[in-house]
Amino acid sequence: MKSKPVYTGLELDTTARRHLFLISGQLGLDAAQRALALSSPADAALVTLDDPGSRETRLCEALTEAGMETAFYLAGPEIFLWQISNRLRSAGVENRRIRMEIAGSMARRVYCVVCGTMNEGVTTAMYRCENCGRELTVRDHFSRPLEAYMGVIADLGALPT
Amino acid sequence: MTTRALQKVRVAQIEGVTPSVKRFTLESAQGGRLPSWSSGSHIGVTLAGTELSWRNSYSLIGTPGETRFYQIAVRKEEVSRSKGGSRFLHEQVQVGDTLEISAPGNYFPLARHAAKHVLIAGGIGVTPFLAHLSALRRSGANCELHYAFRDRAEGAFWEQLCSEYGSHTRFYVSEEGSRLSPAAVLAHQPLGTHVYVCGPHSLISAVSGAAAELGWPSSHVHFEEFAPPPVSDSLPFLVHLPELSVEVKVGIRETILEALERAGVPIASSCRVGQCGTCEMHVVGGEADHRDRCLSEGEMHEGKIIACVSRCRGQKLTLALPG
Repeated sequence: MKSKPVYTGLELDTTARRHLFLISGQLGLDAAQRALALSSPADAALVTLDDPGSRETRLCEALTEAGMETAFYLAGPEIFLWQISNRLRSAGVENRRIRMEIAGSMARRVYCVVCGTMNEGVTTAMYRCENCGRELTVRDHFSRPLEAYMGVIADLGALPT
Repeated sequence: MTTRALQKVRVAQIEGVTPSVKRFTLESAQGGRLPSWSSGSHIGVTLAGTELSWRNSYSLIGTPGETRFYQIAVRKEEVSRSKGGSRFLHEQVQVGDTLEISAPGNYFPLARHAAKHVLIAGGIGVTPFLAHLSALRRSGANCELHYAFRDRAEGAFWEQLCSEYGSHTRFYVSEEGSRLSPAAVLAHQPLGTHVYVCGPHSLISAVSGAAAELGWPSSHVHFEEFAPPPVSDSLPFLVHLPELSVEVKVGIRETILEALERAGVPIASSCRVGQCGTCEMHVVGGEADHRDRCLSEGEMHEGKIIACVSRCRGQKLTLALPG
């Protein structure tokens, strides 16, 4: 599936002069520290964004200090990676300056293509939509703007006529 | 790449901007509207002199999307062969004359998602920024212009830019000892800034160099050359086209493209300064001396060559037409 994201990891972007790690969870912190230990850049900073309530404020503060010399490294659950990277893109950061590594839950956010509901924390290939109750197959088709995988009707025979 | 449609225009007005810069207003020769365009666009102008002819590219100035007429600003250059066209425009072309132009093309557009736009102009390289500033003001975007020129009498449009864009502009007049420092302009720019440079080769190199040094991603640096790279070190050589049984000599002041055009070989071209890739050909024999800014190393390795700027290391280059 072409749209399934490939995460290339936190290898240092040597064209940047400053390196900002935005992480969530203990596993995110571990991933960032592994990357920093490997390359030990001169100018690096690490910001933890564990608490969803204060996340936007902390991110804003970090972005005010960042400039054109900054490269971004994200480590945390998959949902976190997309929330933050979409936020960075809307601030004008280009994709090549955003490196990501999944660290933590592989749970997917699944978008029900029938009723438009976002089902959070899905860990199974089949899932019953929390809103419309339809049995969904979770596809590898990932939507970057929706930050979610597509859930389609599992049994097409069950379609209402 | 396709060749863009050609059309005839009538010179409606010629105005002096500075002692060496003239503004030409062009209208459709058949009457009616011209094709629409976006800021950063240029047109190719064919200039047929009695002995030589030229195809020069000029940025469209004024309000983007103006289709009743086009305006270009042309600086009269004294020396080089490739700039003979601008001298012809200054000395020969009169109001009422008909010229042939190509439809507008844009190799220097604004980055739509930029948080801020920094425009850097050197001399007559200011021309694409006249339209860019107009577009940026219309969209309310965050922008600034840094414009370096030799002296106030020869600096085109600076008074107009100063009065229209005020605090968004900064001027560097070298005769008054004021120098533009690319590193100073680029340092401390906010996240999401894009920089655009148009001017001499040396300015473009200085800005790209400073940006890389400061850790900018190269995709945020945009440039447009208004002249082919300097060819001071060039030697004459032969170009052989087996397909058409053509062999021509490329003189020191001439390009492969110009030599082939002189020999009656039609090659599609557009920017003619090594940026767009329209006049790409294939090297069959001989060693190319690449001077363009559009081919990747891989493409050069495959034998591609850009005829408007690149040359030959040695006596003879055997080329094939594209496709």
